[in-house]
Amino acid sequence: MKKYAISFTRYLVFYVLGFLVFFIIGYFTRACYDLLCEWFPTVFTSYDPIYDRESYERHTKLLGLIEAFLSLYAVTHLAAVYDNERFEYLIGKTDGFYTLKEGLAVYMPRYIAVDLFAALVVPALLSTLSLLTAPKGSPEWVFRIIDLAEPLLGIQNAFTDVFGAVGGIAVLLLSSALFRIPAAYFAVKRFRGVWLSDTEG
Amino acid sequence: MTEILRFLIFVILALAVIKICYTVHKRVRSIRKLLSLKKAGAVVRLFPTLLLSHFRFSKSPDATVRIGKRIYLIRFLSGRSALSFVHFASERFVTVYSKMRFSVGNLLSRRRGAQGNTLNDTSRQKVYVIPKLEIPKEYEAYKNYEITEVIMLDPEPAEVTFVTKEKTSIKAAYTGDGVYGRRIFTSDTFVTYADRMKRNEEYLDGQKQHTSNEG
Repeated sequence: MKKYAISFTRYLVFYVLGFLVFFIIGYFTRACYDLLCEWFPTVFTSYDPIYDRESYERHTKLLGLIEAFLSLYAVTHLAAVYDNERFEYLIGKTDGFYTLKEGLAVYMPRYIAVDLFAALVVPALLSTLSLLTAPKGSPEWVFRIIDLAEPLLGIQNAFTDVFGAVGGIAVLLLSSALFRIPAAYFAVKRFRGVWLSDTEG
Repeated sequence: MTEILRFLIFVILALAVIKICYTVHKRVRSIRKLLSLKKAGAVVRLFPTLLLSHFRFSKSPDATVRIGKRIYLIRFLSGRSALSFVHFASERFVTVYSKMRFSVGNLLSRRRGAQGNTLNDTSRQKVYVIPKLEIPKEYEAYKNYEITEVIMLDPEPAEVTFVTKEKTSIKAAYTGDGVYGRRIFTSDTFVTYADRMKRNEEYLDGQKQHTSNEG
């Protein structure tokens, strides 16, 4: 149970802090898009919000979706790859030197269920919490808290803007689970060949 | 923001170009050194995996040298940079660390578990898997020749270490040392070694003839 608890809390913390990653990546992707518009004006076009409102909104939604995918992967990567518990397990089971297939054969049986659990439960929990609305007669501070918490749901809102409420959450859960595959690959790759004297302390 | 991005892209591209030029230049330099053995009567054959071996080991050799009564099957191992160090963990695996790993802060710390902490180690590593060498068919006919497997370090790292066969200790390896049945060389030392061995053979042959003539 310990490994489930560790994995769950790690992903929860990173997922909640993911709104920061979302804003940083958003800033970069928009700047990158501006550069691409400048370099390849025939392929990438920038939309004017005044003259062409519809396509501008569609375009910003799509950019937001890309940002959400990127930040979701970044969060998953941080949670899986920089995990001391996984590192110690893999190094304990092997001598630190393995081919990627051998490493995954050790890593996957232990962590596939854990990863799926964390990847599905954390976004599902937070998205169901976000669906809850305050009743009409509730005091003002409840609404204030909800307003304050709204930017935390940047990733989820980007999904729901494009795919709708149910579809957005479904895509969010699916991508959160699928991103565990490259994260596992990079974890196994990162832990390989570490200098063994580091673990002797 | 776009200005900053433009600057960053320029810097990254420039670094990549410098790195590529460095490795290609080093590799070409060592190939030219190998080809210089032709003056000593060697037959040098280069394989198309010469530059690809920067990324991974191949089953076939990258170059072969037939000189005197010896055949050297050479595989290149990229030492990345002059600061890096190469560690042969076993017969199958070799790691190239981007720099030496000294985590003094961790060793001095009395915090529990701090010595096992790898967070302060900024050294990056690349692990190569070494597949078993397949001898080219053309060399099967040369049965009287001594075939030696050579790993040529290029660019040359700061240090080479290896785990001994008994797995009890780690030792440093120098040019010409045998590590798991392979010999380790840099291009310079390999050229002098191969030339010297050939001269030695010729000298011994001459001595044999001399003694047989006397008898």
